[in-house]
Amino acid sequence: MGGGFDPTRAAWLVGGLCALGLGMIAAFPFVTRGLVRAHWGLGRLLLARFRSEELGAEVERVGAAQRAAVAAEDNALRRLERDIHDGPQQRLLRLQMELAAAERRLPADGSAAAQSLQEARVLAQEALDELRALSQGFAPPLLQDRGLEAALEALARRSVVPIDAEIRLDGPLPSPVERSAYFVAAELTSNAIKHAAARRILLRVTTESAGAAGGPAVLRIAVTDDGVGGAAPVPQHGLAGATERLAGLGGDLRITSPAGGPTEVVATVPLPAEERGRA
Amino acid sequence: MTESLRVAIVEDSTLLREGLVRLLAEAGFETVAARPDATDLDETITAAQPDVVVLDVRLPPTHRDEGVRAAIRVRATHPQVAVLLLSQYVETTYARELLAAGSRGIGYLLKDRVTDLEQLRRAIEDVAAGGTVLDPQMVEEMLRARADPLARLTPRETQVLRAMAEGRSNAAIARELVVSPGAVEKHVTSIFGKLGLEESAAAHRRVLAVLQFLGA
Repeated sequence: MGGGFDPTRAAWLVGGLCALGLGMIAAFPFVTRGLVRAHWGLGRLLLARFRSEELGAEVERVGAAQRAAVAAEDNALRRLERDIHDGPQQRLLRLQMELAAAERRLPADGSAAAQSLQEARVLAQEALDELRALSQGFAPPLLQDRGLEAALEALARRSVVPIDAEIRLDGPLPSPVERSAYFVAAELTSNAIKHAAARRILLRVTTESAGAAGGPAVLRIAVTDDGVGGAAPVPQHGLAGATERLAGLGGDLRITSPAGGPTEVVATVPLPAEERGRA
Repeated sequence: MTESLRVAIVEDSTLLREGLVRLLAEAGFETVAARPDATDLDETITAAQPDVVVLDVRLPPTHRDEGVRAAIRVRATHPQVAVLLLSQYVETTYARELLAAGSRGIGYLLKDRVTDLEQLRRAIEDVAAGGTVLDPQMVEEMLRARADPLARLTPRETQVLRAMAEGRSNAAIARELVVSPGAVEKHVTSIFGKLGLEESAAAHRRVLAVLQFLGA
Protein backbone atom coordinates (compact mmCIF):
# COMPACT_ATOMS: atom_id res chain seq x y z
CA MET A 1 0.00 0.00 0.00
CA GLY A 2 3.19 2.12 -0.39
CA GLY A 3 1.68 4.11 -3.27
CA GLY A 4 -1.63 4.33 -1.56
CA PHE A 5 -3.38 7.42 -0.30
CA ASP A 6 -1.77 8.64 2.88
CA PRO A 7 -4.09 11.14 4.57
CA THR A 8 -1.35 12.42 6.81
CA ARG A 9 1.02 13.25 3.93
CA ALA A 10 -1.77 14.83 1.93
CA ALA A 11 -2.66 16.99 4.88
CA TRP A 12 0.96 18.11 5.16
CA LEU A 13 1.14 18.83 1.44
CA VAL A 14 -2.03 20.89 1.44
CA GLY A 15 -0.88 22.68 4.56
CA GLY A 16 2.54 23.37 3.00
CA LEU A 17 1.03 24.69 -0.21
CA CYS A 18 -1.36 26.90 1.68
CA ALA A 19 1.49 28.30 3.77
CA LEU A 20 3.49 28.98 0.62
CA GLY A 21 0.51 30.69 -1.00
CA LEU A 22 -0.10 32.85 2.05
CA GLY A 23 3.58 33.67 2.22
CA MET A 24 3.56 34.77 -1.40
CA ILE A 25 0.47 36.87 -0.89
CA ALA A 26 2.05 38.48 2.15
CA ALA A 27 5.29 39.14 0.27
CA PHE A 28 3.48 40.50 -2.80
CA PRO A 29 3.46 44.20 -1.79
CA PHE A 30 7.12 44.11 -0.88
CA VAL A 31 8.09 42.38 -4.08
CA THR A 32 6.02 44.82 -6.12
CA ARG A 33 7.43 47.79 -4.35
CA GLY A 34 10.93 46.46 -4.81
CA LEU A 35 10.34 45.94 -8.51
CA VAL A 36 8.84 49.39 -8.89
CA ARG A 37 11.81 50.87 -7.13
CA ALA A 38 14.16 48.94 -9.36
CA HIS A 39 12.23 50.17 -12.39
CA TRP A 40 12.27 53.76 -11.14
CA GLY A 41 15.99 53.51 -10.37
CA LEU A 42 16.66 52.15 -13.82
CA GLY A 43 14.56 54.87 -15.40
CA ARG A 44 16.32 57.46 -13.30
CA LEU A 45 19.68 56.13 -14.41
CA LEU A 46 18.67 55.93 -18.05
CA LEU A 47 16.83 59.24 -18.32
CA ALA A 48 18.48 61.22 -15.54
CA ARG A 49 15.57 63.67 -15.58
CA PHE A 50 13.99 63.50 -12.22
CA ARG A 51 16.13 66.28 -10.71
CA SER A 52 15.40 68.78 -13.43
CA GLU A 53 11.73 67.90 -13.35
CA GLU A 54 11.63 68.49 -9.63
CA LEU A 55 13.49 71.76 -10.07
CA GLY A 56 11.23 72.70 -12.92
CA ALA A 57 8.18 72.08 -10.79
CA GLU A 58 9.74 74.10 -7.98
CA VAL A 59 10.53 76.98 -10.32
CA GLU A 60 6.99 76.80 -11.62
CA ARG A 61 5.65 76.91 -8.05
CA VAL A 62 7.84 79.89 -7.14
CA GLY A 63 6.89 81.63 -10.39
CA ALA A 64 3.20 81.05 -9.74
CA ALA A 65 3.54 82.36 -6.17
CA GLN A 66 5.35 85.45 -7.45
CA ARG A 67 2.70 86.09 -10.10
CA ALA A 68 0.00 85.62 -7.48
CA ALA A 69 1.73 88.19 -5.25
CA VAL A 70 2.00 90.68 -8.12
CA ALA A 71 -1.64 90.08 -9.02
CA ALA A 72 -2.70 90.60 -5.40
CA GLU A 73 -0.74 93.85 -5.28
CA ASP A 74 -2.34 94.99 -8.53
CA ASN A 75 -5.79 94.17 -7.20
CA ALA A 76 -5.16 95.99 -3.95
CA LEU A 77 -3.86 99.11 -5.71
CA ARG A 78 -6.81 99.24 -8.09
CA ARG A 79 -9.20 98.88 -5.20
CA LEU A 80 -7.34 101.54 -3.26
CA GLU A 81 -7.60 103.95 -6.19
CA ARG A 82 -11.37 103.36 -6.38
CA ASP A 83 -11.73 103.72 -2.63
CA ILE A 84 -9.80 107.00 -2.58
CA HIS A 85 -11.86 108.21 -5.52
CA ASP A 86 -15.20 107.24 -4.02
CA GLY A 87 -14.40 108.11 -0.40
CA PRO A 88 -12.03 110.87 0.72
CA GLN A 89 -11.91 112.65 -2.65
CA GLN A 90 -15.69 113.06 -2.78
CA ARG A 91 -15.81 114.21 0.83
CA LEU A 92 -13.02 116.71 0.30
CA LEU A 93 -14.77 118.08 -2.77
CA ARG A 94 -17.99 118.51 -0.84
CA LEU A 95 -16.05 120.04 2.04
CA GLN A 96 -14.56 122.55 -0.39
CA MET A 97 -18.00 123.37 -1.76
CA GLU A 98 -19.30 124.04 1.74
CA LEU A 99 -16.28 126.11 2.75
CA ALA A 100 -16.57 128.18 -0.40
CA ALA A 101 -20.30 128.65 0.22
CA ALA A 102 -19.63 129.79 3.78
CA GLU A 103 -16.99 132.20 2.51
CA ARG A 104 -19.47 133.68 0.05
CA ARG A 105 -21.94 134.27 2.87
CA LEU A 106 -19.45 136.20 4.96
CA PRO A 107 -18.90 139.86 4.18
CA ALA A 108 -15.63 140.35 2.33
CA ASP A 109 -14.15 142.53 5.06
CA GLY A 110 -11.02 140.50 5.73
CA SER A 111 -12.38 139.32 9.09
CA ALA A 112 -10.54 136.58 10.97
CA ALA A 113 -13.38 134.12 10.28
CA ALA A 114 -13.19 134.75 6.53
CA GLN A 115 -9.46 134.26 6.63
CA SER A 116 -9.77 130.96 8.51
CA LEU A 117 -12.30 129.72 5.98
CA GLN A 118 -10.06 130.62 3.12
CA GLU A 119 -7.12 128.85 4.71
CA ALA A 120 -9.28 125.78 5.34
CA ARG A 121 -10.32 125.73 1.69
CA VAL A 122 -6.72 125.97 0.53
CA LEU A 123 -5.82 123.05 2.81
CA ALA A 124 -8.69 120.98 1.44
CA GLN A 125 -7.50 121.79 -2.10
CA GLU A 126 -3.96 120.73 -1.25
CA ALA A 127 -5.20 117.48 0.26
CA LEU A 128 -7.19 116.84 -2.93
CA ASP A 129 -4.16 117.56 -5.11
CA GLU A 130 -2.03 115.21 -3.03
CA LEU A 131 -4.58 112.43 -3.19
CA ARG A 132 -4.87 112.87 -6.93
CA ALA A 133 -1.11 112.76 -7.42
CA LEU A 134 -0.94 109.74 -5.13
CA SER A 135 -3.47 107.66 -7.04
CA GLN A 136 -2.06 108.84 -10.35
CA GLY A 137 1.25 107.42 -9.16
CA PHE A 138 0.00 103.90 -8.55
CA ALA A 139 -3.04 103.60 -10.79
CA PRO A 140 -3.34 106.12 -13.65
CA PRO A 141 -7.08 106.64 -14.19
CA LEU A 142 -6.90 106.20 -17.96
CA LEU A 143 -5.14 102.85 -17.49
CA GLN A 144 -7.92 101.84 -15.10
CA ASP A 145 -10.69 103.08 -17.36
CA ARG A 146 -9.45 102.20 -20.84
CA GLY A 147 -6.55 99.77 -20.55
CA LEU A 148 -2.92 99.75 -21.65
CA GLU A 149 -3.21 100.86 -25.27
CA ALA A 150 -5.16 104.05 -24.47
CA ALA A 151 -2.88 104.84 -21.52
CA LEU A 152 0.30 104.44 -23.60
CA GLU A 153 -1.09 106.56 -26.42
CA ALA A 154 -1.91 109.30 -23.92
CA LEU A 155 1.58 108.96 -22.44
CA ALA A 156 3.08 109.48 -25.90
CA ARG A 157 0.86 112.48 -26.60
CA ARG A 158 1.67 114.12 -23.29
CA SER A 159 5.42 113.82 -23.79
CA VAL A 160 7.44 116.98 -24.27
CA VAL A 161 9.74 115.11 -26.68
CA PRO A 162 7.83 113.59 -29.61
CA ILE A 163 7.15 109.90 -29.06
CA ASP A 164 6.04 107.69 -31.93
CA ALA A 165 3.94 104.99 -30.33
CA GLU A 166 3.46 101.68 -32.07
CA ILE A 167 1.23 99.49 -29.99
CA ARG A 168 0.10 96.08 -31.16
CA LEU A 169 -1.49 94.00 -28.46
CA ASP A 170 -2.97 90.62 -29.17
CA GLY A 171 -6.05 90.82 -26.97
CA PRO A 172 -6.32 92.07 -23.40
CA LEU A 173 -3.42 91.37 -21.03
CA PRO A 174 -3.53 90.35 -17.37
CA SER A 175 -4.01 93.55 -15.41
CA PRO A 176 -0.75 93.28 -13.37
CA VAL A 177 1.12 93.04 -16.69
CA GLU A 178 -0.73 96.10 -18.00
CA ARG A 179 0.16 98.16 -14.98
CA SER A 180 3.83 97.13 -15.01
CA ALA A 181 4.09 97.64 -18.76
CA TYR A 182 2.68 101.14 -18.38
CA PHE A 183 5.10 102.17 -15.65
CA VAL A 184 8.07 100.54 -17.41
CA ALA A 185 7.23 102.39 -20.64
CA ALA A 186 6.84 105.64 -18.69
CA GLU A 187 10.19 105.17 -16.96
CA LEU A 188 12.07 104.19 -20.10
CA THR A 189 10.76 107.12 -22.11
CA SER A 190 11.34 109.67 -19.36
CA ASN A 191 14.83 108.25 -18.92
CA ALA A 192 15.53 108.77 -22.63
CA ILE A 193 14.36 112.38 -22.32
CA LYS A 194 16.28 113.11 -19.12
CA HIS A 195 19.57 111.34 -19.69
CA ALA A 196 19.97 110.76 -23.40
CA ALA A 197 18.88 114.24 -24.60
CA ALA A 198 16.66 112.46 -27.10
CA ARG A 199 14.86 114.50 -29.74
CA ARG A 200 12.66 111.70 -30.93
CA ILE A 201 11.60 108.48 -29.29
CA LEU A 202 10.09 105.34 -30.73
CA LEU A 203 7.98 103.33 -28.30
CA ARG A 204 6.98 99.90 -29.53
CA VAL A 205 4.83 97.68 -27.35
CA THR A 206 3.92 94.35 -28.87
CA THR A 207 2.75 90.92 -27.82
CA GLU A 208 4.63 88.08 -29.46
CA SER A 209 3.10 84.64 -29.52
CA ALA A 210 4.92 81.55 -28.32
CA GLY A 211 7.86 80.67 -30.55
CA ALA A 212 8.32 77.36 -32.36
CA ALA A 213 10.80 76.40 -29.63
CA GLY A 214 7.89 76.36 -27.19
CA GLY A 215 8.93 79.52 -25.34
CA PRO A 216 6.18 81.50 -23.65
CA ALA A 217 4.31 84.31 -25.35
CA VAL A 218 5.91 87.61 -24.34
CA LEU A 219 5.11 91.29 -24.11
CA ARG A 220 7.93 93.41 -25.54
CA ILE A 221 8.40 97.05 -24.63
CA ALA A 222 11.08 98.58 -26.83
CA VAL A 223 12.17 102.20 -26.46
CA THR A 224 14.57 103.57 -29.05
CA ASP A 225 15.89 107.12 -28.92
CA ASP A 226 18.13 109.24 -31.08
CA GLY A 227 20.02 110.65 -28.10
CA VAL A 228 23.68 110.62 -27.15
CA GLY A 229 23.96 106.90 -26.40
CA GLY A 230 26.65 105.49 -24.17
CA ALA A 231 24.19 104.37 -21.50
CA ALA A 232 25.61 101.77 -19.13
CA PRO A 233 24.92 98.23 -20.36
CA VAL A 234 23.64 97.26 -16.91
CA PRO A 235 20.49 98.88 -15.60
CA GLN A 236 21.58 101.80 -13.46
CA HIS A 237 19.71 103.70 -10.83
CA GLY A 238 17.67 105.51 -13.47
CA LEU A 239 15.99 102.27 -14.40
CA ALA A 240 15.82 100.69 -10.96
CA GLY A 241 12.04 100.91 -10.79
CA ALA A 242 11.59 99.29 -14.18
CA THR A 243 14.05 96.52 -13.32
CA GLU A 244 12.22 95.79 -10.08
CA ARG A 245 8.81 95.71 -11.73
CA LEU A 246 10.05 93.39 -14.45
CA ALA A 247 11.67 91.04 -11.95
CA GLY A 248 8.32 90.68 -10.18
CA LEU A 249 6.83 89.33 -13.41
CA GLY A 250 9.80 87.19 -14.40
CA GLY A 251 10.77 89.64 -17.13
CA ASP A 252 14.06 91.32 -17.96
CA LEU A 253 15.63 94.44 -19.41
CA ARG A 254 18.32 94.72 -22.10
CA ILE A 255 20.15 97.88 -23.07
CA THR A 256 22.04 98.52 -26.31
CA SER A 257 23.65 101.92 -26.28
CA PRO A 258 26.79 102.56 -28.31
CA ALA A 259 28.45 105.94 -27.75
CA GLY A 260 26.75 108.42 -30.09
CA GLY A 261 23.49 106.43 -30.01
CA PRO A 262 20.98 105.22 -30.82
CA THR A 263 19.98 103.70 -27.51
CA GLU A 264 17.57 100.82 -27.48
CA VAL A 265 16.13 99.46 -24.26
CA VAL A 266 14.00 96.35 -24.52
CA ALA A 267 11.90 95.00 -21.68
CA THR A 268 10.40 91.55 -22.00
CA VAL A 269 7.64 90.10 -19.86
CA PRO A 270 6.60 86.45 -20.28
CA LEU A 271 2.86 85.92 -20.57
CA PRO A 272 1.90 82.60 -18.95
CA ALA A 273 -0.68 80.90 -21.12
CA GLU A 274 -3.10 80.27 -18.25
CA GLU A 275 -3.06 83.91 -17.24
CA ARG A 276 -4.02 85.42 -20.55
CA GLY A 277 -7.15 87.50 -20.38
CA ARG A 278 -7.98 90.33 -18.04
CA ALA A 279 -8.34 89.30 -14.42
CA MET B 1 -31.30 136.77 -18.78
CA THR B 2 -35.10 136.51 -18.68
CA GLU B 3 -35.46 132.86 -17.71
CA SER B 4 -33.02 130.78 -15.66
CA LEU B 5 -31.21 127.96 -17.45
CA ARG B 6 -32.50 124.43 -16.88
CA VAL B 7 -29.83 122.00 -15.74
CA ALA B 8 -29.85 118.20 -15.33
CA ILE B 9 -27.23 116.59 -13.09
CA VAL B 10 -25.84 113.07 -13.45
CA GLU B 11 -23.55 112.28 -10.51
CA ASP B 12 -23.36 108.96 -8.66
CA SER B 13 -22.08 110.32 -5.34
CA THR B 14 -25.05 111.47 -3.27
CA LEU B 15 -22.76 113.83 -1.40
CA LEU B 16 -21.70 115.66 -4.54
CA ARG B 17 -25.08 115.46 -6.24
CA GLU B 18 -26.69 117.27 -3.31
CA GLY B 19 -23.83 119.75 -3.18
CA LEU B 20 -24.23 120.48 -6.89
CA VAL B 21 -28.00 120.98 -6.58
CA ARG B 22 -27.41 123.60 -3.89
CA LEU B 23 -24.60 125.25 -5.80
CA LEU B 24 -26.66 125.50 -8.99
CA ALA B 25 -29.54 127.04 -7.05
CA GLU B 26 -27.14 129.59 -5.57
CA ALA B 27 -25.83 130.34 -9.06
CA GLY B 28 -29.39 130.99 -10.19
CA PHE B 29 -30.00 127.88 -12.31
CA GLU B 30 -32.97 125.57 -12.14
CA THR B 31 -32.14 121.89 -11.52
CA VAL B 32 -34.73 119.93 -13.46
CA ALA B 33 -33.30 116.45 -12.84
CA ALA B 34 -30.64 114.87 -10.62
CA ARG B 35 -29.78 111.26 -11.45
CA PRO B 36 -27.17 108.83 -10.07
CA ASP B 37 -26.39 107.24 -13.47
CA ALA B 38 -26.77 107.83 -17.19
CA THR B 39 -28.74 104.71 -18.10
CA ASP B 40 -32.03 106.55 -18.69
CA LEU B 41 -30.49 109.87 -19.69
CA ASP B 42 -32.31 109.92 -23.00
CA GLU B 43 -35.73 109.68 -21.29
CA THR B 44 -34.64 112.16 -18.61
CA ILE B 45 -33.71 114.73 -21.26
CA THR B 46 -36.95 114.18 -23.14
CA ALA B 47 -39.01 114.53 -19.95
CA ALA B 48 -37.12 117.32 -18.15
CA GLN B 49 -36.01 119.37 -21.19
CA PRO B 50 -32.72 120.67 -19.74
CA ASP B 51 -30.60 123.27 -21.52
CA VAL B 52 -27.43 121.80 -20.02
CA VAL B 53 -26.54 118.33 -18.72
CA VAL B 54 -23.82 118.28 -16.06
CA LEU B 55 -22.21 114.82 -16.13
CA ASP B 56 -19.67 113.01 -13.97
CA VAL B 57 -17.14 110.97 -15.98
CA ARG B 58 -17.06 107.86 -13.81
CA LEU B 59 -20.56 106.48 -13.42
CA PRO B 60 -22.16 103.14 -12.65
CA PRO B 61 -22.14 100.36 -13.67
CA THR B 62 -18.41 100.08 -14.49
CA HIS B 63 -17.20 103.42 -13.07
CA ARG B 64 -14.83 103.88 -16.00
CA ASP B 65 -15.77 106.43 -18.70
CA GLU B 66 -19.57 106.12 -18.89
CA GLY B 67 -19.93 109.89 -18.59
CA VAL B 68 -17.80 110.52 -21.68
CA ARG B 69 -19.76 107.99 -23.70
CA ALA B 70 -23.07 109.38 -22.43
CA ALA B 71 -21.95 112.91 -23.38
CA ILE B 72 -21.13 111.78 -26.93
CA ARG B 73 -24.54 110.05 -27.14
CA VAL B 74 -26.30 113.23 -25.99
CA ARG B 75 -24.48 115.20 -28.70
CA ALA B 76 -25.92 112.81 -31.27
CA THR B 77 -29.45 112.41 -29.93
CA HIS B 78 -30.07 115.90 -28.52
CA PRO B 79 -27.72 118.29 -30.33
CA GLN B 80 -29.53 121.30 -28.83
CA VAL B 81 -28.59 120.21 -25.27
CA ALA B 82 -25.19 121.40 -24.01
CA VAL B 83 -23.00 119.06 -21.97
CA LEU B 84 -20.60 119.93 -19.16
CA LEU B 85 -18.43 117.05 -17.93
CA LEU B 86 -17.04 117.25 -14.42
CA SER B 87 -14.29 114.89 -13.34
CA GLN B 88 -11.70 114.35 -10.65
CA TYR B 89 -9.15 113.91 -13.43
CA VAL B 90 -8.95 115.70 -16.72
CA GLU B 91 -7.91 113.37 -19.53
CA THR B 92 -6.91 114.94 -22.82
CA THR B 93 -7.94 111.66 -24.48
CA TYR B 94 -11.54 112.24 -23.39
CA ALA B 95 -11.40 115.90 -24.38
CA ARG B 96 -10.31 114.90 -27.88
CA GLU B 97 -13.17 112.42 -28.20
CA LEU B 98 -15.69 114.99 -27.00
CA LEU B 99 -14.41 117.63 -29.38
CA ALA B 100 -14.42 115.13 -32.24
CA ALA B 101 -18.16 114.70 -31.60
CA GLY B 102 -18.61 118.45 -32.18
CA SER B 103 -17.27 121.36 -30.18
CA ARG B 104 -20.56 123.27 -29.89
CA GLY B 105 -21.88 123.43 -26.35
CA ILE B 106 -19.26 121.17 -24.79
CA GLY B 107 -17.40 121.66 -21.54
CA TYR B 108 -14.96 119.58 -19.51
CA LEU B 109 -13.83 120.81 -16.11
CA LEU B 110 -12.02 119.48 -13.10
CA LYS B 111 -14.53 119.02 -10.26
CA ASP B 112 -12.46 121.29 -8.02
CA ARG B 113 -13.48 124.26 -10.18
CA VAL B 114 -17.07 124.16 -8.95
CA THR B 115 -16.05 125.64 -5.60
CA ASP B 116 -15.61 128.86 -7.53
CA LEU B 117 -19.24 129.74 -8.08
CA GLU B 118 -18.46 132.35 -10.72
CA GLN B 119 -16.41 129.86 -12.73
CA LEU B 120 -19.20 127.28 -12.61
CA ARG B 121 -21.82 129.86 -13.57
CA ARG B 122 -19.74 131.07 -16.50
CA ALA B 123 -19.01 127.53 -17.68
CA ILE B 124 -22.70 126.60 -17.69
CA GLU B 125 -23.73 129.82 -19.42
CA ASP B 126 -20.95 129.44 -22.00
CA VAL B 127 -21.78 125.88 -22.97
CA ALA B 128 -25.50 126.70 -23.01
CA ALA B 129 -24.66 129.49 -25.48
CA GLY B 130 -22.87 126.96 -27.70
CA GLY B 131 -19.35 127.66 -26.47
CA THR B 132 -16.51 125.29 -25.62
CA VAL B 133 -15.11 125.28 -22.09
CA LEU B 134 -11.96 123.30 -21.30
CA ASP B 135 -10.23 123.10 -17.95
CA PRO B 136 -7.17 125.39 -17.77
CA GLN B 137 -5.06 122.45 -16.56
CA MET B 138 -5.94 120.44 -19.64
CA VAL B 139 -5.30 123.32 -22.02
CA GLU B 140 -1.92 123.82 -20.41
CA GLU B 141 -1.10 120.12 -20.80
CA MET B 142 -2.09 120.15 -24.47
CA LEU B 143 -0.08 123.28 -25.16
CA ARG B 144 2.98 122.10 -23.27
CA ALA B 145 3.18 118.92 -25.34
CA ARG B 146 2.80 120.91 -28.56
CA ALA B 147 4.92 123.94 -27.94
CA ASP B 148 7.96 122.35 -26.44
CA PRO B 149 10.07 121.57 -29.56
CA LEU B 150 10.41 125.34 -29.93
CA ALA B 151 11.35 125.71 -26.29
CA ARG B 152 14.33 123.44 -26.90
CA LEU B 153 15.89 125.80 -29.44
CA THR B 154 18.88 127.80 -28.22
CA PRO B 155 18.41 131.59 -28.10
CA ARG B 156 20.60 131.85 -31.23
CA GLU B 157 18.53 129.25 -33.07
CA THR B 158 15.34 131.08 -32.10
CA GLN B 159 16.87 134.26 -33.55
CA VAL B 160 17.66 132.42 -36.79
CA LEU B 161 14.18 130.89 -36.96
CA ARG B 162 12.58 134.29 -36.38
CA ALA B 163 14.62 135.71 -39.25
CA MET B 164 13.55 132.76 -41.40
CA ALA B 165 9.92 133.52 -40.53
CA GLU B 166 10.53 137.06 -41.72
CA GLY B 167 11.43 135.58 -45.09
CA ARG B 168 15.22 136.08 -45.07
CA SER B 169 17.75 133.92 -46.88
CA ASN B 170 20.67 132.30 -45.06
CA ALA B 171 23.04 134.90 -46.51
CA ALA B 172 20.85 137.76 -45.24
CA ILE B 173 20.58 136.15 -41.80
CA ALA B 174 24.38 135.73 -41.67
CA ARG B 175 24.82 139.42 -42.44
CA GLU B 176 22.26 140.45 -39.85
CA LEU B 177 23.72 138.28 -37.06
CA VAL B 178 27.31 138.99 -38.17
CA VAL B 179 28.23 135.32 -38.52
CA SER B 180 29.44 133.18 -41.42
CA PRO B 181 26.86 131.63 -43.81
CA GLY B 182 28.27 128.25 -42.69
CA ALA B 183 27.30 129.00 -39.09
CA VAL B 184 23.77 129.90 -40.16
CA GLU B 185 23.60 126.67 -42.16
CA LYS B 186 24.55 124.77 -39.00
CA HIS B 187 21.89 126.51 -36.93
CA VAL B 188 19.26 125.80 -39.58
CA THR B 189 20.15 122.09 -39.66
CA SER B 190 19.95 121.97 -35.87
CA ILE B 191 16.54 123.71 -35.93
CA PHE B 192 15.23 121.16 -38.43
CA GLY B 193 16.49 118.39 -36.18
CA LYS B 194 14.92 119.79 -33.03
CA LEU B 195 11.61 120.34 -34.75
CA GLY B 196 11.67 116.75 -35.99
CA LEU B 197 11.65 117.65 -39.68
CA GLU B 198 12.93 114.76 -41.80
CA GLU B 199 15.85 115.03 -44.22
CA SER B 200 13.74 113.94 -47.18
CA ALA B 201 11.44 116.93 -46.96
CA ALA B 202 14.42 119.29 -47.47
CA ALA B 203 12.60 121.60 -49.86
CA HIS B 204 9.75 122.20 -47.47
CA ARG B 205 11.54 122.08 -44.17
CA ARG B 206 12.09 125.81 -44.12
CA VAL B 207 8.40 126.45 -44.58
CA LEU B 208 7.41 123.81 -42.05
CA ALA B 209 9.78 125.20 -39.43
CA VAL B 210 8.37 128.68 -39.92
CA LEU B 211 4.79 127.37 -39.71
CA GLN B 212 5.62 125.65 -36.45
CA PHE B 213 7.18 128.83 -35.17
CA LEU B 214 4.04 130.74 -35.99
CA GLY B 215 1.96 128.12 -34.21
CA ALA B 216 -0.02 127.21 -37.31
